[in-house]
Amino acid sequence: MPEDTGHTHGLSHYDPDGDLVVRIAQGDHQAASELVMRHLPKMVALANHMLADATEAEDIAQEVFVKVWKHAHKWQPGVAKFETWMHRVAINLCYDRLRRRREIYTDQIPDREDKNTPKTDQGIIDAQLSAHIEGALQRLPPRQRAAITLCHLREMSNIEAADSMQVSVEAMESLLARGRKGLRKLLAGQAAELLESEG
Amino acid sequence: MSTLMTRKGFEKYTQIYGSSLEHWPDSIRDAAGHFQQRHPADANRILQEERPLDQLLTQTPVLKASARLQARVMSTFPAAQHQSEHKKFAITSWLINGILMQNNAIPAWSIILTVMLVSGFVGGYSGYAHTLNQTGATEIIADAFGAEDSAFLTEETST
Repeated sequence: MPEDTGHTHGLSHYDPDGDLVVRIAQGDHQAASELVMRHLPKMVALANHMLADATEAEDIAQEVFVKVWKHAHKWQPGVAKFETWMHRVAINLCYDRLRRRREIYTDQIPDREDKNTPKTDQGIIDAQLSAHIEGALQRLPPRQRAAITLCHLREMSNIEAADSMQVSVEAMESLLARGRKGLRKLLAGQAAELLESEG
Repeated sequence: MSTLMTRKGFEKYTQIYGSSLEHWPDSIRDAAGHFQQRHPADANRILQEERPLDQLLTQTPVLKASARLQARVMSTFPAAQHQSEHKKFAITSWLINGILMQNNAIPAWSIILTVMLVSGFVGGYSGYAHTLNQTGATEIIADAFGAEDSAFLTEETST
């Protein structure tokens, strides 16, 4: 159950996934397929932003859906949006992976160079910039990274993002402010280039 | 009704939610808009400072979900299992309802079904136990596949 933050009054009671979840609990393959089509891209992208590893991100996305199949019959509509719960599961699974990683590695930042980098000059520049941004994101503490990912990359509302991370809206705002400050510092060079190129 | 937003407040929220007011929460967007109208130069300067980071964030690579992954995820969906469990439960509750819930009268068909089920279980179990006891089947199977001088191996090598 979500922690009562006192800031969930803005959540709509209508859940666009509610009907699908009921059908999934009854073993409806078509409903499962629709839910996968709707949310798999979000889960993979979120996990990849958190872990910067495509294979692990795919594993996390799969684990999220396995939990959906397992717990669909227990779902109580109106408590929180199903999508919010899915994000929460994904984030917690990512935290687990990061914890395990920390036990194995030291402070290494994964090499994010894309093997399929386009060969044009602009393509190389864009790919390098993307890798640099993702590298900066990986340097943030996991909770700040999650906040930035949910609010700025997944464009969730602050209330839904806070609910997904099981924190208050104030705590979410603090994570966002610190995360953005960190990114501004890490990406100062790129930001200056961007301003210069715009004249 | 929106409360007045100060310059400090506008700056604080820009550093939290970024340079695009559309992405700010509904609860503060109106107040921010009013501040922008009252102090356009200040507001634009504050937003301008934050804009490069937002532009950079749009360049963050997004991993796509492949068709292979979709198939992999769908292969974990246990539809058949759920349905068969549902059917088993339905049969059980049908029997229980038949026996217990029919206004104190126990219908003949439910008694017959119950007797058939129970005798099936009992008969099956005793037959299994009897077969093993009679022939020592477990030992024979173990000999055939485990021991080198078993009948199975002897027959194989002699042909």
